[in-house]
Amino acid sequence: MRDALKFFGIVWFGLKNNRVIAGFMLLLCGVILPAFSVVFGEANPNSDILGTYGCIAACFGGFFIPITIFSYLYNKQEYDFYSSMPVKKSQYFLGYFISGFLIFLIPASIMFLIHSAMGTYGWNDYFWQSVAAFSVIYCSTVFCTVFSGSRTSTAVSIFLINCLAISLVAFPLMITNVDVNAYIELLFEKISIFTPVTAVMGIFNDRFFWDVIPWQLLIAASETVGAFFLHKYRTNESSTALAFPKSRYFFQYIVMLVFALAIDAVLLLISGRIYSLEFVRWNIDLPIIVFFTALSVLAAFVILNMILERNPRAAFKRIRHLFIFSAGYCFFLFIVINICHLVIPVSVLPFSPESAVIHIYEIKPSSDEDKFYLRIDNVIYEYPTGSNGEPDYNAKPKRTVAEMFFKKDEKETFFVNDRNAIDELVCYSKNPVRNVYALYTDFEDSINKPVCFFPCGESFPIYSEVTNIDYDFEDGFYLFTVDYYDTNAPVSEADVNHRTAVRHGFSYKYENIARFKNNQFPDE
Amino acid sequence: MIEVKGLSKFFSESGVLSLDNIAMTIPDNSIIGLIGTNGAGKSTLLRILAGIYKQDSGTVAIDGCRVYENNKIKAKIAYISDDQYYQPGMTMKKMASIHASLRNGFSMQRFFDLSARYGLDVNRRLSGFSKGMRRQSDIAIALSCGAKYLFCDETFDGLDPITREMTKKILIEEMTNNGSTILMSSHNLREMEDLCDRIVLIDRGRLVLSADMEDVRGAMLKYQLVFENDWSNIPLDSLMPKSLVESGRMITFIAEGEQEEIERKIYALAKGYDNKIAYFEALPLSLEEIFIHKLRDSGLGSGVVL
Repeated sequence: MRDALKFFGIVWFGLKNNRVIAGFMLLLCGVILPAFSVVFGEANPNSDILGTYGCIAACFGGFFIPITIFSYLYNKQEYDFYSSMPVKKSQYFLGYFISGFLIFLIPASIMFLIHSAMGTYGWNDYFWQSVAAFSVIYCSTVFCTVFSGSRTSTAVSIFLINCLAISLVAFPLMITNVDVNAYIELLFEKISIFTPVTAVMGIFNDRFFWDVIPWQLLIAASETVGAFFLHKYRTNESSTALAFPKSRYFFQYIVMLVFALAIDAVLLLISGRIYSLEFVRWNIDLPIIVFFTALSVLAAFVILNMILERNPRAAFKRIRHLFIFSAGYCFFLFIVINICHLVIPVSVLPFSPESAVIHIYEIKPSSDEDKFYLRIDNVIYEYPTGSNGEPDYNAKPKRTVAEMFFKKDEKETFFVNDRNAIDELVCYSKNPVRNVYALYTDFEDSINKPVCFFPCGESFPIYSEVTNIDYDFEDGFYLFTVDYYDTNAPVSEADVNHRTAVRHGFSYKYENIARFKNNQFPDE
Repeated sequence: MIEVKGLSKFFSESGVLSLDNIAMTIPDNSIIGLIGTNGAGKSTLLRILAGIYKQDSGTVAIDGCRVYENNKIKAKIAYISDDQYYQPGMTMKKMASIHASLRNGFSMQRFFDLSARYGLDVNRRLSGFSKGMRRQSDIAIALSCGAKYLFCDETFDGLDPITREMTKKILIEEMTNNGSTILMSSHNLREMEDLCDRIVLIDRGRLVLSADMEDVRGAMLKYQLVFENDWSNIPLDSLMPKSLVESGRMITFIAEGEQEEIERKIYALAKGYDNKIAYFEALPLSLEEIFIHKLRDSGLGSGVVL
């Protein structure tokens, strides 16, 4: 009983000790945001203004509350003072952790109650989403705060933890010769699981909330457990930028490595697509790759040296480490490229042969009598037919077949993640006049140009008289078989069958097989 | 009782072996002085005993239990740092309330009594206090914790003579009335000499001396003697003096050992060289003199020449 009282005493102590941030959260949630509702809310009574407020509160609280309440870890005097008290480190951590939660929860509850009293739309819908988003951001920031030895290195850690997933996914995507923009769009949910700041999406998107946030909360829980043990075994016996000085250079290099990787990925993203190394345009692409890599290595070394040495003048300290780090980084990149090239199976890589992005011009009845396709808003569903064989519009959809991927003007592309559906919908999308099958590569081109695109980014011009396009995937090769009329060819050479085998990501292999109208096959 | 065995502490960041195989026992209900050169490891030792740092090797036990991350033992300890933490805008009363919220045995009444005794305004901001006043507030708060063990790191620094006397009185009362054990470090050896029952001398992380004050004083004495005749042929080196100074006919030397034994040797030497001793007196050394000679003996210290 005494221990329980003492624990609550620590929670209360944490609240008292952090009056400033608590007061600011109360001001933000209890006064400022409701005031905005009064001033601007009447113009949009049914808007998701509370969702926006929840996002603001979750982000602000999630980042700044842990940095404030655990700031004693960065002050040696304060840390010694608390360490001298008859309170275990675990008690401090748990007590302060709960204090931090209350510093958000109480003001947020007040904000939502005020809006409930004001009759603001959807107040009860956004509350738990905001709490969930806050929890994800809060736990990851707590982890960063406990891991780091200074506010600056905490900021770096928070940046890394929110950008790491993007860089680690984007980087191999780029070197596997896939259009990065598209796959980040396609795989946003996968990346967002590992990116705490994206939790605020759940405030606005029910699907995101139920599909992604549970995983983010799981990761947040494991971060909290990690932070608990880091806090317990952390020492502040000397001033260091990282909390564990004995292995300083090991952690320093790891941090530099990840930082450089993130910078490199961002720079390469900005620069656009990178071709496979076999087909790299040596005079253009390779110098870009080298330049960005060198820049990111140098930037990481300089910035982190300044942070870790706590001295701006230490930017180029221990210059020999730059060479060690550069060599290590290049070696690491080389290993990553080769691992992606050789080891990761295509089924794991983001582009799945079972998926495609296509235009859908028209949806026709399915060849299967048991089902029909119906488009509702931006989603195409498969519905069962009734007992009379007619479409049953009152039934619930059996599954989602395709979702809107991109829309420009009136032209739309849909993402389809089902091989059978691709076959059916591709057929259905065959325009009898202009046979356009767009398999995703580039946003702009897939909308505008009547070409057939392959996942590696090369386009295969099709002729206007295409009669059929089939694609297959076997042994790591996409096989596109395109039947078309070559109107300029002699009649005997009509129906030339161009067969293009495209290995996923790294090389091209062209095979031209001509089929004569009399069904005679030439030697391959 | 405080028992330390094989205690070592290494700070990897600075590459310094701060404590090297320290072993000592501190009995209850006593005042122990922890002395040493700058950077000797006194503060580190106090921090380890207070449970702030964890030792790299060896054991530290208070009342038979380990200290680090042990709430029950740490509740018996009050630590006064040489570099105490204060929140901005904090008053003495707020500081006391922090202690009260984290310590079950804290007595606000005793805090107010001690503050009044020191003449301190508890509602005044600590940032407005002088260094000495902050020290006084630290002492008042520490003594209000109701702790059995009080560890003070350079507590007398910054105190005026009157306050020092008052503090000494308060500490003795604390020890006498409450059975406390006080371990204090200071460079003011004069104060330590008056106050401490036992002395622990550390130099460069190593334990040089740990003994009762009386034993320390008795172990090394200053002798003054005057021979009746010329004594230049008398080998006083055989007494192994720590130092030997001539001033006219007066010879002053410092030697370690039993006073009676040294006296017997001197008289035997005088007799052996047909000389007589006209004047002989044994005087106690100050703690400072003992400190310097002990360090010099062990080959450590900063080579101070008297």
